[in-house]
Amino acid sequence: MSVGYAAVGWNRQKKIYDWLIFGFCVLYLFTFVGLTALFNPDYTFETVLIRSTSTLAVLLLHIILSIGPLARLNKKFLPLLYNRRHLGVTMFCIAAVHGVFSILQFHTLGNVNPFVSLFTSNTNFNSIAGFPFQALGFFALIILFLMAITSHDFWLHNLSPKVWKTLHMFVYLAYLLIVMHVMLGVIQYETHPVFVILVSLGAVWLIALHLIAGTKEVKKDNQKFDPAAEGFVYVSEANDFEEGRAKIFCIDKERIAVYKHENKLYAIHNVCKHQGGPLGEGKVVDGCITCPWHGYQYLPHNGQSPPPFKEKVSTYDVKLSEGKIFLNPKPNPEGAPSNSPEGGELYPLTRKDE
Amino acid sequence: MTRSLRKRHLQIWALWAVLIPVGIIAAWMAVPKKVTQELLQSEVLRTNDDTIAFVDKGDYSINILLDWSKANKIPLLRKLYDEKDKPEPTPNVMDSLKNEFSLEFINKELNVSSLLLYQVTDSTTNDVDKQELLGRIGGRGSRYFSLELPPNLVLGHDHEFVYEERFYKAKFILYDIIKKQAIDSVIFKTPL
Repeated sequence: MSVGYAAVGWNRQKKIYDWLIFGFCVLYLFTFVGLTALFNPDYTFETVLIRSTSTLAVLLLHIILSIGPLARLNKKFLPLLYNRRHLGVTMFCIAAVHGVFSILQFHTLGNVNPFVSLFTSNTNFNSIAGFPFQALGFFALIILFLMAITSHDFWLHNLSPKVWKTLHMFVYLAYLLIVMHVMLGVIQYETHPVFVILVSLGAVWLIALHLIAGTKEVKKDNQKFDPAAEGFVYVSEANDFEEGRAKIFCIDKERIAVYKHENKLYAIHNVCKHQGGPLGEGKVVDGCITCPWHGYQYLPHNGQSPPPFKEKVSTYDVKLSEGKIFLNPKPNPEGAPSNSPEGGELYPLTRKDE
Repeated sequence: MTRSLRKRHLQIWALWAVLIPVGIIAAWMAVPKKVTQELLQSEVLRTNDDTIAFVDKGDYSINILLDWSKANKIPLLRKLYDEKDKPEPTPNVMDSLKNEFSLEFINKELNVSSLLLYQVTDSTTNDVDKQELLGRIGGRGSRYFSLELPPNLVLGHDHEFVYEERFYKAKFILYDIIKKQAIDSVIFKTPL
C-alpha cells in the first residue's frame, strides 16, 4: 500500500518475480532460435523472430490464465498471483514484437498503408481455410494493449474498479481470438499434428482449470445456513478458529470473513477494495487484517484502512453463544464499527466458552 | 472476487468450453489436403495411342506416342520399304503420319517452374533458339505436346541384315529459362 502512485512499488518479491520472467523469456527465445537454426537453417531472421515471439507470448498467456484458478484451488500458487500483472505486461510486449514484425514482413512491401493492407488484402470471410486470421490477432493485440496500459493501480482507481475489472476480463476474449488466429493461420500450412495437439492441450488445460475452480466456488456460494433468531445465522463452532486467521462463510450471496484476533472475533466483508482479493485468505499483521494479494490492510473492528489510507469495507455483527458462532448477514455501513459496545465483537472468546 | 464476478467467470468459461473445441475442430478439418504425388491424368485417357518409345529419368518420364488407329499406314509404310529401290518414304505417307505422333511428358518430382521442352531439329548446333519449341513444363502432372513436324522419322534401311529396320529417332532438350541452361536431354532411337 502507498499513499501516492509510483510506477512500480519495488520490493524483494517483485524483483525476484521479474528476474524470473526475464530469465525464462531469454532462455526460451535462445532455445527456439538455436533449434530453428539447427533444423531449419533456411528460415530468415524475420521468420524466426515472428515465430519465437508468437509461441512465447501464447505460452505466457496460458501461464497467466492458469494462475487465477490454480490459486483458488491451492494456496501455494498465491505468490504467482501477487505480481501477475508483470507477466501480463511482459506477454503484451512480446506479442507486440510479433505483431510489428508480422506487419512489416507481410504488409509493408506494397503501396498500401500496412494497416489498410492488414484488413483489405484478404477478405475471404466465407472461407475457413482462407479466413483473414491476421485481423483476429490484431484485435487480440489491441485488447492486450489496453490491459497493459491500464494495469497500474492509478487506472484501477480512476476508471473505477467495476470498469477496470470489466476491461481486464476481455483477456478471455483475447484468448479466444488468439486460439483462432493460430488455428486459422499457421496451422493451415504447418500440418504436423503436434501443433494442433499443443493448442488443444492448452485449451483443455485452461478450460478444465477454470471450470473446476469455478464449480468449487459455486458450491461454497450455495452453502445453506439455517436461520436463527434476531437475524443471526449459525456458521461454525468456536473452537475451529486459528489465531490471526479467518474462515469464510457465504451467506445471502456475499462472503464474510470471520477473524479470530487476540481471542476476539471480527467479521468483515471478504472482498478487498483494491482488486477484489479474498480478505478471508489473508492474516492479521500488526493488528490489521491483511489482504493476501497486495497487502491492503483493514482494522478488524471497523473495516477501515489504517491512516492515511482511505479504503473501507463493511463489518458484520458476530456473537458467540454456547460455543457456537452466529453471524448477522446484514452488513454495517462501510467503515462503521459493528453494533456492539466493544466495537467489533459481542462476546469475547474465553477459555470457558471454548 | 464478488459473487457476481465468480458467476461471470464461470459462464464465460462454460461458453469457451463449447466454442473453443468447435473452433479448433472446424479449423483442423478445413486444412487443405496435401497435394498427392500421383499423376493428374490417367493413362486411360489416351486409349488410341501407344507408346513407341519411352524414357524414365526418375523425376520425369517421356513417352512418344503414336495413334495407331490413325497410323495403320505403318504396315503400308513397311510394305513400301520392301521395295529396295525406294528407300525413302513417299511424301504423302510422311504427311499422313505427321499429326499422329505426340509426346507425353510426365512431371513427377521436378520442382523447377521455368522449364521449356525443345525438340532438336538442327543437330548441328546446341543453341536452343534454333530448335523447335514444343512447350513449357509446369507443375506435377502430365503434359501432351503434339509433334507437328515429322519426328525425324528415319526409316533405316540396313541392307546388310535380313530384316529392314525402321526406327524412330529424335532428341529433346529440357531448358531452364531462368538459369539459361539446358538441364537435360533425351535421345530416342527405337525401332518401330
